[in-house]
Amino acid sequence: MKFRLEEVAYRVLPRVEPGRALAHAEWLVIVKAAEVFLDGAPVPVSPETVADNVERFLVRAGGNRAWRIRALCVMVELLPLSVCGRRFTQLSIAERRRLVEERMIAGGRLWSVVGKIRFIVRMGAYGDARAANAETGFVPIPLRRRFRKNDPQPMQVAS
Amino acid sequence: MTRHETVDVCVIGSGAGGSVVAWEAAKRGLRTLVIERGPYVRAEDLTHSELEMIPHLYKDGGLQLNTAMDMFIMQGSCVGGSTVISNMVLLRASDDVFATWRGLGADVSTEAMRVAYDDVEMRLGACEPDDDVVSRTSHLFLDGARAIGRTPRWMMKSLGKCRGCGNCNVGCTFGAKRDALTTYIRWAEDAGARVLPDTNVEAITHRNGRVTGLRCTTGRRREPLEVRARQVVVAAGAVGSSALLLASGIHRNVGTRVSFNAGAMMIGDFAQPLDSYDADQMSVYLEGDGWCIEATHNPIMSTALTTPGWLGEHGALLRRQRHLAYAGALVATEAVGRVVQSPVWGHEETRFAATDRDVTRLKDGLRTIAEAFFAAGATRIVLPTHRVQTIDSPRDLDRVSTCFRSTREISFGSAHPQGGNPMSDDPRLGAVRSDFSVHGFDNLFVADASVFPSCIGVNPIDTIMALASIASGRILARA
Repeated sequence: MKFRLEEVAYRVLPRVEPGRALAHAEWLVIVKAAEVFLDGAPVPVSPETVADNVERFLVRAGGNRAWRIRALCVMVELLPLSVCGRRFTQLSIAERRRLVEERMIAGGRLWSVVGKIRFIVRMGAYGDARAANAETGFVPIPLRRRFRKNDPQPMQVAS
Repeated sequence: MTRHETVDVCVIGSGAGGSVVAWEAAKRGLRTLVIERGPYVRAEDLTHSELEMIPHLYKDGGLQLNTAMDMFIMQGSCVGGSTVISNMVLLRASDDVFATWRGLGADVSTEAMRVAYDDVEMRLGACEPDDDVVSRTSHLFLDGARAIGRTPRWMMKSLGKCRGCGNCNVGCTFGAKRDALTTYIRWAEDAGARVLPDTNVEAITHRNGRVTGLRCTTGRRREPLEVRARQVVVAAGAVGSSALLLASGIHRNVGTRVSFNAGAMMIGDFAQPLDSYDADQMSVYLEGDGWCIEATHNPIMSTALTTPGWLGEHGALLRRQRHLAYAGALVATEAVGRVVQSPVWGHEETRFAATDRDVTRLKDGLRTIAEAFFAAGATRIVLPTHRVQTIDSPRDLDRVSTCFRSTREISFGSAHPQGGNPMSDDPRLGAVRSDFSVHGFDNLFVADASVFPSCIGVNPIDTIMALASIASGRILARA
């Protein structure tokens, strides 16, 4: 019998509670990555909220690709063992930042794959309704003057 | 217990290709079933949140990558397919494209395509965008391109009564956009076709060159469903159609000649605020030697994902967002890609690496963007490299040629995959004959971008729909 890759991944990756898309360890990797990647970013969203948003995204996506994001989180967590002797989530912010600068930005193939975690973090941060603010200069559609007037239907805004 | 359906025509996929075939079949009085893997999402179900809509409307939640993981491939996965998340840009392929196709053994005449284009564009109400929804970015690019002696053009689009909210890529909450969902699919349903969303075709069963049925799962519980149809039309998109044929044990040239309109984004930084997010996402384009430039702007999450930079430099650019003008250079890549079934795991893989020619053309297109933005008054240009690199003067434009060597070093992606089931009457080259039937089959057809024998170089919806219109005549004449 032939197993599909995602079936194998789901057997190997940690068990996920019903209604969730990430195991706690994977959620924590996103939190710790967000602390580094969003330092000074114009989004008033906590790293925990970023991870929650990513998880909500994956739940909506129906799990088809969730295992790939989960596998990426595992890689992010474990690859630093090869250079720091500790897991990503065990490193201080300064150490994580140095890892990004010295390995992910300048590094080889595997590190550049691991560096894609920044896109996941940005998705969770800038996908939040609070990312449309004075600092980024985006105005949500329902708040734009010309859409407030004459609008034939009430617009929905993400919570 | 397995449910059974028996119809005259079963169309797999409801996007630009499948919707046209479904309508043509239904209006001829044929019992028509449209199977769609994604959900049925109506305008009232849409929100403005990218975080909510992208996983709902995009294939693989918008996370589809090539095997090398250096290129995003964006495709829709919902009733209406990629048209729902598109800007409904209707651009015709050049006559040279069809000459190339004929040279590869595909009997597609320029005149037949012209008639089909006219028909599709008339039905969709194609027109240039109203001036009051055109962004500052589009105007600046238009002015800048003219200033450097180029001839940019207004796009033909089918946006209906567009309000210019800039959120086309997460569906039209106003129900204005005339995509496949609000046109051909609706017309097909009015003519009696049934649409089955949330349904995945696991395999096409066949014997002696005839399709005997479709093995499907449907609904959240993945209940088994078997469909029998006199004719089966595969229109699951450039990657999906090849993957389905391969999963069904149909291999002759399947998955070959995959190409993309693929590209990268350049950013012009202007002194004055542009606020281009509050307008039609794209309205103008410029064609060059193997590339097409489209000035564009995205909502905030997509802007963050397409803006380069690590750590603080990314946030600094996002703070300049109101002043930034984005434009993408799309290259008509060589048809060197493949869709394959993983030999170990059986899942679909898209294998593609841009060739040296593709990279050279991309750099030429990116340089033209930089020239145009400088001519329009940009104070600096941000290159598409992962780490922020800027050009602060037109004198330094040569840096575009040296700032990257391979597409791995830049943000590179495509929303226009093509090929995989190339059309050719030569069985050594083609997966599909000119009558759209799969080689070796008499009741299995393909009618989507996967039949393109080469890349067309412009947004493909118009060509897919026109080709599907021609396909309908050839396929349904045999029904």
